[in-house]
Amino acid sequence: MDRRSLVYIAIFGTLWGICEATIGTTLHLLHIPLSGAILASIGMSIILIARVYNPVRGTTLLMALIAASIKMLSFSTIKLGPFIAIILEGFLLELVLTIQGTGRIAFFTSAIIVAIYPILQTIMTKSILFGSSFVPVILELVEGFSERIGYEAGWWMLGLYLLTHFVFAFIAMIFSWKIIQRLKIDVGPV
Amino acid sequence: MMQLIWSRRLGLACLILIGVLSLKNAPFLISAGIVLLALWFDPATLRPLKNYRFWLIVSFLVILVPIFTGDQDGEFLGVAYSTVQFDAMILMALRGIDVFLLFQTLSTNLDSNKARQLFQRLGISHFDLLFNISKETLPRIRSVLKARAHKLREPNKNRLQLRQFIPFAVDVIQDMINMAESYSAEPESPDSTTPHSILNEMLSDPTPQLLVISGDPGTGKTPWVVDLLKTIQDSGYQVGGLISEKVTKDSGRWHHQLRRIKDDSVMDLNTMDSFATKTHVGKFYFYPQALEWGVDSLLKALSDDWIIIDETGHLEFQRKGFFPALVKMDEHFSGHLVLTVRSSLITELDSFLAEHLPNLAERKRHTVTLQLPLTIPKPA
Repeated sequence: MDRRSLVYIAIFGTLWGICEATIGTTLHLLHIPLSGAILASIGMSIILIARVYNPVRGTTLLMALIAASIKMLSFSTIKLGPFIAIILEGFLLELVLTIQGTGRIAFFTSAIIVAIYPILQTIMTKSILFGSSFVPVILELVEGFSERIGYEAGWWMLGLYLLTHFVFAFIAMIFSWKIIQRLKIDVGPV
Repeated sequence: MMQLIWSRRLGLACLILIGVLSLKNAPFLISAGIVLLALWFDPATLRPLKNYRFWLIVSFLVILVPIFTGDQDGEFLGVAYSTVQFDAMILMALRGIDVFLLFQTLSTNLDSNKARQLFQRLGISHFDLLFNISKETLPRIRSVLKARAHKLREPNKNRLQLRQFIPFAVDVIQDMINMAESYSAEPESPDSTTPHSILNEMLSDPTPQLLVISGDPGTGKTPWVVDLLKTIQDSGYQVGGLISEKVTKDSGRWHHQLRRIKDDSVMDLNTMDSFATKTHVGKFYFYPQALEWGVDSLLKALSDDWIIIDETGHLEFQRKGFFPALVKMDEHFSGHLVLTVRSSLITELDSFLAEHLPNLAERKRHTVTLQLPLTIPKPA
């Protein structure tokens, strides 16, 4: 890895870490729901743009380690949830970008991954915390709620929850694509 | 000592894990024991339990699941619920609290330095180097973000529109790319940017020129300009203008004072204490009489060979501050002009000059970019 790659990883990893620390804290203080999905989408935008300008294998995972460490600087202690979330996002997108490069398909796949992985992470962490029956219990609750309220209300709410994750991720994907197109005009081709 | 803490931490975690696995036998007793163990290990372990989100999901399970699922064989305050599901959810909630405390015991008081040691131990190459670069660039990235956020808020004090975020993000990313590219380049030879070498370069051309010194806070713009001032004065030229000096009151508070080059007289320019003034940027409130004094000092220097303004920025871009003096310079000043500006404002300076000061914009320009050197050893 050359000097340029190292500097890009450090700068964009730090930028990601600062966004996680500042926006994450703000979302947390304002009690905004789905803050994990919002932060994951912002992280994805930074990863995609950085990878276009520094297309070197392994850089996204290293960026995630830097971002996680910077985020830790803002806490007095390690919070495992955000720490694992950042590193997992870096790892998954590293896989996508290593396999698919930085074209439209890679952007699209990244958006799908970023939409799905916070849901999987929630399922995984809640299953570890509350036991393997957590997901069946929630599905049972959704069904019971739908029967009692009518209009399939429980399933609609679950669908809306899932859809919101996809909306955030795809907005972030389009946002990143537009920024890269604008940068190509302002800064010149990559 | 570290070993001892780790073994105590791991030993306790194992005890909690055994408790979690045998929770069904005596849920309340075991959970109470786990809470006491965690409290004994470190009271900070229990602190995250104050987070309402954790209790939101616990309440969600204990209240909603028995109401909406299972056989409704019980009643509380007129609401039917399933007693079987209620008992199951209580057990699930207790397990949740206990497992949460298990993870807390493992992670409490582990800070980023220990995480760093972990990454090093895992043999992740370049991590230490990257973390050092990251810590060095952190203040500069923060300063860029602050400046860009200020620019975003300035014309839209009342409402922010979503479409403004794309240009904002483009500017931020462009700043990051510029920063990365400038740090990626091998450091320039120090001789090429000394005040002496710049002065020689400028004097080799008889036309009036513009020298822009850019850099982030703390990179040494003012000391560089003071060196240049001495070099120019030693060469026998008349120099006028203003030097902006930082005056520190205590660790968190400071202000700037203007020093008039001609007679070394000084005047406080701004303060962090708010008072009724139309002119304020970020946390600084500017004294109108100081700005008038500054403009007057610059106008008196119009006949000099050189004028130095340390520093120009948001105020001038908003046509305040020393803007009236800059307009006069654009029309009447035939000497060399030196401006200092923060790196994050350099692109704004270009458009500002082109829009308001066309004669200065057309001058031959020299730019000196000051930055703290990054300690990047050559990669193996």
